[in-house]
Amino acid sequence: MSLLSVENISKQYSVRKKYWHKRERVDAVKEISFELKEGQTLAIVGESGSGKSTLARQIIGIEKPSRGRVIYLGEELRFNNRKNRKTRFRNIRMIFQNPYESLNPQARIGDILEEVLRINTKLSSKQRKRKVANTLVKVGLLPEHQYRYPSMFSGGQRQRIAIARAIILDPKIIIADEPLSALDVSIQAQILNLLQQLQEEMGISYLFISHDLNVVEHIADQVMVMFQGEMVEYGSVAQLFDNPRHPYTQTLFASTPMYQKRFPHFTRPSFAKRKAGANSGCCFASRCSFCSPRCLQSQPVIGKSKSGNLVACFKELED
Amino acid sequence: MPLLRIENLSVNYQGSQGEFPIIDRLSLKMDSGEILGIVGESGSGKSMLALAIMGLLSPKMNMRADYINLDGEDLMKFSDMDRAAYVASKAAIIFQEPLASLNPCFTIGSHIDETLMFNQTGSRKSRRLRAMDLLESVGIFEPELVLRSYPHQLSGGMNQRIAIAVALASRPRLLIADEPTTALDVTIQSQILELLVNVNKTEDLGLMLITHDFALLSENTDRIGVVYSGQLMEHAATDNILKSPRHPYTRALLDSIPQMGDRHIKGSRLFALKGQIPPMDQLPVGCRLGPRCPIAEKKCVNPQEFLSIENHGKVRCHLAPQKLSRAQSSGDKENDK
Amino acid sequence: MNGQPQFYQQSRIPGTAARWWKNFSRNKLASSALLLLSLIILIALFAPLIAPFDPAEQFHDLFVPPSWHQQGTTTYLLGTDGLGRDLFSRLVHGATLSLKLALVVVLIAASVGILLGSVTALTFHWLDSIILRLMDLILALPSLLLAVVIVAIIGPGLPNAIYAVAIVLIPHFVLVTRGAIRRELTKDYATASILDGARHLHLFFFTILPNILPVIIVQLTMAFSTAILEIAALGFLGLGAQAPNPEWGTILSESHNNIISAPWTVTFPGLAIFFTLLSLNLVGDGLRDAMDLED
Repeated sequence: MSLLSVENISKQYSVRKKYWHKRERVDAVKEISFELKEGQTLAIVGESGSGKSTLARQIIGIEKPSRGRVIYLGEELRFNNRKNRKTRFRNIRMIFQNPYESLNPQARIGDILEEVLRINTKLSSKQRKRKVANTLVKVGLLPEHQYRYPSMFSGGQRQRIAIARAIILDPKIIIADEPLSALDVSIQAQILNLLQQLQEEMGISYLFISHDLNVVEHIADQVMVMFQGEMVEYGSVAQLFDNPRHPYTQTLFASTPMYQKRFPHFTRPSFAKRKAGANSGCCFASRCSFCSPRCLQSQPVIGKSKSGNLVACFKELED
Repeated sequence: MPLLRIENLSVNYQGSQGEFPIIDRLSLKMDSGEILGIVGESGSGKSMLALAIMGLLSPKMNMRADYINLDGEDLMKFSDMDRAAYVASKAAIIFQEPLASLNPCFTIGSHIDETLMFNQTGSRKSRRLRAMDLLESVGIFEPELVLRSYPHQLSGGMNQRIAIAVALASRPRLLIADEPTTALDVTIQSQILELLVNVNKTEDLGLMLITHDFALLSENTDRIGVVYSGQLMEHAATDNILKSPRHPYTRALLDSIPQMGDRHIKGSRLFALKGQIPPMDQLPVGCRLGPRCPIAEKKCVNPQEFLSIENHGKVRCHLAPQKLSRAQSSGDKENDK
Repeated sequence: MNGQPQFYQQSRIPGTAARWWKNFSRNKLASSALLLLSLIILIALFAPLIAPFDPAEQFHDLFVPPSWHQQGTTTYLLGTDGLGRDLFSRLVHGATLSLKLALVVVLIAASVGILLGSVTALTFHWLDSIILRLMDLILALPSLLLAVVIVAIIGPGLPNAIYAVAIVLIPHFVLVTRGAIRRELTKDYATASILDGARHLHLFFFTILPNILPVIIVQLTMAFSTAILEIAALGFLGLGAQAPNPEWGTILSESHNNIISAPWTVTFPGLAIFFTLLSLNLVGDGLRDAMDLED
């Protein structure tokens, strides 16, 4: 049985362009399904507007999905259910992108971490303090740091504290939403190493959201590529990085300097030339260099391609 | 004659608690038609370098230099007004956030027109034609429509293109791009970079590309300057730097990037420099990398000079002239691009 | 070991309030203003001990100039007014009155305003809209005019003046509180708190409140200053504190006709108002800077 099973999660928002317009439904996330096994890292790759952060919010329980289910160890996690929420908070934790905004500036680090324990565990005050000190050491800080305020730490250190907050409940799954994007390059390597170390020590599974292909190749076991709310490709890291099949994935590689050498024949993305029909047709049709009339009319359903990757593309699936 | 020559540029910040060094004795030169990449992390002073050249530093900053030679004239010898006029005609800069560079109250047409009015005489019609030419040269296919639009109606990528068009309107000899692609999506990033490289070729100007992303520079630049904590640590041809980086910081930066093919192997770790970037008020004595450097030794406490290395470039490290053996630099990986 | 301690070599890390105080005391202008303000508050608190005479006591010496004047005496430090009352004692008791009234007004306005502001920020969209439109209504009218209108409707006198000024000040608290809370809710650390399992009340007191406190404190000082001014204005118009109350505005309403013949009866109450407001505003600005607020 897999650790986490996400089935057909969809999220729609109704937005109004202007005050007098009718409300329109916008699909932020469309029918995403995947499974996460213990100790594994699933990377979610996408650009802005791909819906990856929205997906994270559905899984972690900040928002209620319009459709679909999230199942943890066989138990369905419903949005409003009290018991489910408790399970969720303890076992699925989150690391945010911006280390400068994810810590309460008016609270000392030790208090932030202790509150987490106080709310979710039955440990005594002394036990809590000991656990806080241990966790700080685990993420590479010192126990005396618990008396300090977040403003006294650098970006990399703050991210370590955010990681401490995530691991302090010994969770099984951590969702990391672009945890490295706001950090300097030399610090990114430190944090990446820390994340890997913690995974090996504690057996945590990561849902790692990133737009950085380098990092994804280094840390992921499985990779999912999202575009405009849809999953366009899914495969193991070997499948995806040796032989990416979906045209969008290929443009991602073609746009990243280091991978241009590996895949010199992938075309760079072109401008949005064709106007795809509003909701019909493949999401990528307007930019795809392989677009055929069929692509403008109906949406490809995700299926297995020759090479084993799951792809949502007519061209790939027909062979 | 080089397009840009800077000798011993120092910038200090005059704060309420004293003077802090932002840039320390930076010297570099750049030829016309060259693409120079400046790479550094936060606190390195790379953005300040761009502002210093353009004369855009805030009044709280003190700037000193032996000379800053831009296309034959020494900027330090000008008065403030003359300097601004000269720089405006010779150099242009584009910034990270396209929406911040463009005034939301004005159409794109007004933006380009304003720059053209300062830089050329001619009728309104000729300016409009030139504006459309500029937009086409940056890859915008419907210039009339775009000229009438406002910045918030267009995408980030398009706005950055427009910013480049505005910069090119003054026909500069030097174009400085300060993190031009950081705020954009990956697929748009490559387009903008391609555009900048093209512009460099077609207009024969010097392009200074400032970024924190080493990978971006490895493909596109002729030379690279590595900045750390306000000092230029290494300045050499791109190929030389990528094949055999001489400064430990450059090595560390290159090694910190996950190498291609390095898949998720249990126990594998990236090379990471320990410690933090030193804050402005707590700079180490001597070499600024000292506390974090894997090969630091006693002599590193002395101020480090910018040395010339044969067939390579310039490095600010007294250990650079000796070729570093594998054993000495820890975490070294056996990979040469 | 990574994460070497950066600055702070001190053994005890100061709390937030201590940090704010340290920042504030570095601001010379604000610190001096605080000193002046404390002086005024002390005078107000110990008025009966400081004032030589009873403010309503009338002597036979009418319109005596201040003590440094040729015809003045040291008995009446700042002279007397048209009814022979010692100006200095009146002003000192006036301080008590003005500050007390302003305090009551601000307390009412703040409690109602912060409550309403919290409600609009945290509950239903339609309630939010209703309350906001109501606040817009109040804000649309010039504050003094509105206060006058309210008093005209419910009648002059001190209690009504208090209500009128309180009503005028409420929207500021509502908007400030609402804006601050909404900003806080968008922050990642609020989301993180929810994900830690924090209940609503806990979220409010530990995550939201400490972060909106700076804005509210500054708003309180500014509201205090406005309150004093409005009460004085109402007093001057005869709509607030009535004679013979020694409220500064009321004193001005009685003496303004004598500005040429007995200028001290107008100047000193005016200066009292001026310095109180000045010190309050400077302290408010200093607080804003010390607590690192953006606008």
